[in-house]
Amino acid sequence: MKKIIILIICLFLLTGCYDYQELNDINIIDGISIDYKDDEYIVTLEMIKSSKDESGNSITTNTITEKDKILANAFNKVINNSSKKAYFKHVDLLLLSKSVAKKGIDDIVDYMIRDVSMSSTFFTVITDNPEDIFNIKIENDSPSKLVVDTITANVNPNSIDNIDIIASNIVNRRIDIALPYIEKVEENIKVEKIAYFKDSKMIDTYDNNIYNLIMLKSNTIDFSNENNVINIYKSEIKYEISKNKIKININGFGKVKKVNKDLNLEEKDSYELVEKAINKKIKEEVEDFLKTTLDNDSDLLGLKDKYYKKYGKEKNYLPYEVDVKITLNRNGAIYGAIHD
Amino acid sequence: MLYERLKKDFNNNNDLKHKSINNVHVVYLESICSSDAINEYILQNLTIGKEYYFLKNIVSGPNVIYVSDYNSIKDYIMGGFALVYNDEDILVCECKANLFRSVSTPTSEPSVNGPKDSFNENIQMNLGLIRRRIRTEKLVTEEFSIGRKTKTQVSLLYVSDIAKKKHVKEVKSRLKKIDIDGLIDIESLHSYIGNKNSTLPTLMKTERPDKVCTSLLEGKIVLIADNSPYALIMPAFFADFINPQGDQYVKAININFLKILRFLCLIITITLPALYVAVMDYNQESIPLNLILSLQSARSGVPFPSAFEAIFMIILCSILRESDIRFPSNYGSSISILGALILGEAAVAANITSPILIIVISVTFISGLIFNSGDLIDGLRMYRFFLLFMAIIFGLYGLVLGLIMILIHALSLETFGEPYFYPIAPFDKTYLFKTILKNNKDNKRSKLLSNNEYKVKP
Repeated sequence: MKKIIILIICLFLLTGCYDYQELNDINIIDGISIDYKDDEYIVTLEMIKSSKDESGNSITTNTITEKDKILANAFNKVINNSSKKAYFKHVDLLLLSKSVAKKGIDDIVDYMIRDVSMSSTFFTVITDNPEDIFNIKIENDSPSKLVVDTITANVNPNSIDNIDIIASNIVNRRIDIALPYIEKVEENIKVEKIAYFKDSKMIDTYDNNIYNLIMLKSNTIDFSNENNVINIYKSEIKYEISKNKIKININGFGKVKKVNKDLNLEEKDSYELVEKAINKKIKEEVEDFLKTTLDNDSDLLGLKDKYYKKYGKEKNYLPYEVDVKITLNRNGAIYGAIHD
Repeated sequence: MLYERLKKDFNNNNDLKHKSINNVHVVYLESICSSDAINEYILQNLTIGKEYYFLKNIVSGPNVIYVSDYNSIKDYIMGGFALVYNDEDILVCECKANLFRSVSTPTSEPSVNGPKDSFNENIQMNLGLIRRRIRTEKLVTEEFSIGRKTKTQVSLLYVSDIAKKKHVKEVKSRLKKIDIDGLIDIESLHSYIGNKNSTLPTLMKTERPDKVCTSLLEGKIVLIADNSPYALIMPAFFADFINPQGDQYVKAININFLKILRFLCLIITITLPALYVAVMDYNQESIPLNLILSLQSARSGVPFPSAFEAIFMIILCSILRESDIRFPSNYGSSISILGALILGEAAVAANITSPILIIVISVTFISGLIFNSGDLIDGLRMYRFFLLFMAIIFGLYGLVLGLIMILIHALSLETFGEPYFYPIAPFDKTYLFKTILKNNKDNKRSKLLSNNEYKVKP
């Protein structure tokens, strides 16, 4: 009994409170940006704070920046510069500059997944100049939150890769990563492109829409062709892998949002015309996307991985064929065509 | 001669009265005997004739007993009997004064549904309230006298063809072992026949005759004592304390939501302050960013650590609750006003505490007050403090560790040889639907409490 009491006393006196941190003694970090200029990493932390005023609670942000040739040192410096203990468990956004992405993000990913105090559920985003994004003036919210909201507005948030998946894809080397590419437009954010990578290095950017369709990232995508606007609300992708070819079948359902003036949707053939036109357009776009990325040796769909899993062999180049079949909704009564 | 001896033994007490008419002596304790009854049963008859050789023909009370033993004469006198003797016979006649209040409504277990009568301090009246409901000769009452000085009458009740013999035997053996000076209230028996090693109650105290009868019909055993307005029901399991008797009278489909809600309250009342401290001091990652920001701004002016703040507020609320119970209600509602002002307004304005903690503590206490067993509330208070200290030292990890420790302790408890967490562990569907949940079928008894399983033969 004495031993147990001594053990309990030791437990309480020696082990307790080791990670104690009072809520008011921490700086909550909402976003991190990493830039690379003149052979130095520039790390900026965006701290979010809520304060009481006459109109209620208001959210304010401020940033601190430090630079060093070694990423970990830059982080250490910026953490030490923070007035209170920097708290990384609520980081929503990791903003990487184009320059650092082109240099390679493997050391950044390595640092992020190794640091136990870091959250692992943030979004990683590429931009031209991270400083511009953190300088956006936004009332009662933080720029990081604005970026996250804009990205997740049209994309299923669960489909966005977190740092663990990015790390695993970089290490795996058979599936390449693509990250959202954001641009600042006045005091707002625009997400129209993705930045695609070969291993850990960014190659270039490409249109967001077609990537979202083939990666099934979004539940609703608009496609336009000759004044016809089709909204695809459900899609699936199937791969038929044979020794010499990979066939990519994209099937889905769409609804007509807007059609050409010459078309009358009351006529049965009109739907088929629109369907044919839009399927052709999507097929061309997908083929172009695949050609562009695969020519740059960036395999976003993981075609090589799929082939390897089926045949146990690696193959550098695989011919592919794309088949698109989007079926338009014909249900319900449409009184007259929906024109401009 | 007998009177002289009694007077000496009673230390010349003034309330020991003696009357002698026509060579018949009447001795009684004035304070506990009704003078009307003495007059009607004894004295009136004595003044009619001259000489009486057969006392039995004179004393007309309903309860007249011949006695020969001197010690039992003293016991009868102290029990409200009048001693009547002449040279030939000695007898006692019951002339108890009615020192008891009438049957009133339950105060500690109020209910919207069901009967509105409750026990009072008269054991015979309490027995009557039970017998009125269970009209069978199988309802056994065995009497015990407990307390060397008080000689309190304690009745053990069970239905002989329902209750298990081993439970009856166990209770009897525990009662026989009691050797104390006085049993003033039946609650004192808790420490002699209940489980001493736990803060949780293992005997159920009730003032409702309907609850006692329901328990008797399930195979439980009941103790009632003279001068005590409560009955003790045993064995009592943890699940019995959560739900009130009023649930019996409501449709199953409607009451199950409330039953689940009560379990939720049980969890809230023991864990919420600990959860608050764990989240504020250790595990900030477990709550959404927007909430953490508002918590941070609400606590911005408070100079104390949240652990100290939580302990301070719990102690303050416990003081308020205790003073509210002790303070006579006819002094007005000053305690409530003081409490509301100090806790609700001034403490926040003076930056002693944050508004969020006021909400946490209020929810904790309100959740705890839905249970009407004072013993359970006291037990839960201990667990609340234990979990709070675990959370102060180890955060959420400590809270979970503490909960596991509580669970291990509670699961290892026994009440009269039966597992305390029955019907959850060991699982029993029949008793589960009598306590934790309710269904419309009530045709079986729990196997643990009765060998006579079927209420209605299938």
